[in-house]
Amino acid sequence: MKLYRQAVWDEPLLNVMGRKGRKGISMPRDQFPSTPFRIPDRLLRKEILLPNLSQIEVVRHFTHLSQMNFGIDSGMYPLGSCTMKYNPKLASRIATHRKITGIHPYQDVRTIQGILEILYKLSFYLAEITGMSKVSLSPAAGAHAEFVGGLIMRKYLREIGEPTKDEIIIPDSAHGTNPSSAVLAGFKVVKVRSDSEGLVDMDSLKSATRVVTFCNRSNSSEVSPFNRL
Amino acid sequence: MLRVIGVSTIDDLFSDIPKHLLGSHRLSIPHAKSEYEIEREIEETLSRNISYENLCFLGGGCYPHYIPAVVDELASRSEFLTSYTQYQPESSQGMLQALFEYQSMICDLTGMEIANSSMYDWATSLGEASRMAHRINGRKKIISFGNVGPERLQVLRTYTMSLGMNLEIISSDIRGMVDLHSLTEMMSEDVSSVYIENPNFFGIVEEEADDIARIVHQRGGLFVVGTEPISLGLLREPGTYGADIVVGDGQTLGIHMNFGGPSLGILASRGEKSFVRQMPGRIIGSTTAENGTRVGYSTIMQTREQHIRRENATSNICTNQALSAVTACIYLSLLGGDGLRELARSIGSKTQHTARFLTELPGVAMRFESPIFREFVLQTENASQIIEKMATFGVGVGPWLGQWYPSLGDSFLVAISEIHSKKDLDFLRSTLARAL
Repeated sequence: MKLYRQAVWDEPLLNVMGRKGRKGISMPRDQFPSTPFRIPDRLLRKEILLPNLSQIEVVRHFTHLSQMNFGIDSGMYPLGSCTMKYNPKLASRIATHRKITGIHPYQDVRTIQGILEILYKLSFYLAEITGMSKVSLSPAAGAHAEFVGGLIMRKYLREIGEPTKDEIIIPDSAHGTNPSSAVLAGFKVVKVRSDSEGLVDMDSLKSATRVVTFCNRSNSSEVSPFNRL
Repeated sequence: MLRVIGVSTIDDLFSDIPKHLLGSHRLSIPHAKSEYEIEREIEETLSRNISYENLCFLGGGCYPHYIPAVVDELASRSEFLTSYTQYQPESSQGMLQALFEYQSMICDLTGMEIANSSMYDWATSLGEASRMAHRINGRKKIISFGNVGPERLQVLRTYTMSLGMNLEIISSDIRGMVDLHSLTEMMSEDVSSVYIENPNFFGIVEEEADDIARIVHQRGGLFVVGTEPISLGLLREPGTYGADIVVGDGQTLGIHMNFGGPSLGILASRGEKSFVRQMPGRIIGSTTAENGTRVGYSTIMQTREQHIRRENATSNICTNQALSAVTACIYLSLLGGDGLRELARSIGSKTQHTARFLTELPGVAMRFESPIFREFVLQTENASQIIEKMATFGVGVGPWLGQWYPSLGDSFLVAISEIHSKKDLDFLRSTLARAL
């Protein structure tokens, strides 16, 4: 079997490497050194312990650390839970385009038509792929989106006058974020067991289902059609 | 390839999935294109974005800064960029060490004893910090002020409403600072946490942070402080004035504005067990590796987290901003303590200079007369129209404060950083004069 080997460096902590007087980058000089801050002295900090390093020390340190790390570009990464996918390099290049990186979120709407068009198209594609009608691009991560989904359901149930519906049935095969997101959104979690095939145990599923992760962690597709419930 | 693995069509690979579960309709999304065509199409779309570049004076939580070439170069090394979350420490030692060093730097900057390895952004860090405070003391009330980020307050409300928590907002005083008198009156034994920002949303440095901490602690509440890390090169670290939990945004530490994200949520706290056990998110620790001769790094205290504790976890956070945290770590390594101090001082003096320089114009005034850092509130007639006019001249100022505060319809923020030269400030003033 071909084993992957990676570099092992005895890379010390930056704290140990720092030396007085070193600097890794020159920032523009203070152009108004004689202008007083008008901030009282008692509000100013006394010392900062961050290490001072030269640029080449920083470059070597983080290059060594990167070499001690395994990524998709290094080789196959079959660890589950979040599927590890290859992202085309063009996507990274576009994401680091100056016309994206240099845009402030509070800019005048006339100056951000390009990025808004991209986000609009993305929402449309995501709606099409999921078969849903509306998409929010606000959540910062999958777990964050589960939380948002929980809050939407909670608010909806309140608006239709069913605030007592406060339980979410979650199979024990679901990702750990599912029950924790449900709790964050104010629901009680009712656990259902999975059977020997890794699927929701239908006997254990007693009451109506509101959330079931469709692709569970053992990655067997749930065969039971939920419209039967 | 199909022949080698013994199937005749791609569909055979999915034969164990029951037919009725397979999607059959054609998705109405455009056909795949070549890499060149995609790039060209996106380039054309992006040409309709305008970056204000060195004439961006927009603030309100996201700021333009110079990002050293080294930062982008190192942070985009593919071993960092394409790596998985650090569940397998043996294949993630590099990232784990970088995150461990990031945590140490955040502790130093904030004056706190422990930091986690990242949250999504400032607002969600605040939401999590308030839930953490509630888990520690079981109380249900949160007090905050009219001078903290209004959108962050909305997120705070969203994060805490399911706990039945009650958020009370105290108006800031005439200086734009926390009103100590009202706080003393409102503070009671049922207040879980009190949240201030320093510098606050108006760029004002709170003068009485020590007193606020005393008032909060007298009634057994927890003191949560929100801050922006570059300011900590100049201003006292929250740990020295009694903060129990510190939150903030690391966007200013080498992370591009990116139209608002991904950013970097900072969360640090006191080091007692009662705090650490209730902390959300990943914490990286240092240990001795198996053979006893090497230092190794690993995620620690995982029994707080969703993948172990499920519905009893301290948070649902899983994916976090690890790459942003590594980026911030690289940025801070380049600056060092001395560089950060110099940078913060130069921004401090330039903020003062610009405020004075702009208010020399007739009809332009400072809304508050208080110590400021990095940004400040300008007062003019027709503030929102002035912002729009300046945008047509290629100068970004704002946001307009009237959108959140009815009493500040005549006010907007102006933010300053090291990217602004004297010439840029001259142009800012002449543009403002034209727009008035």
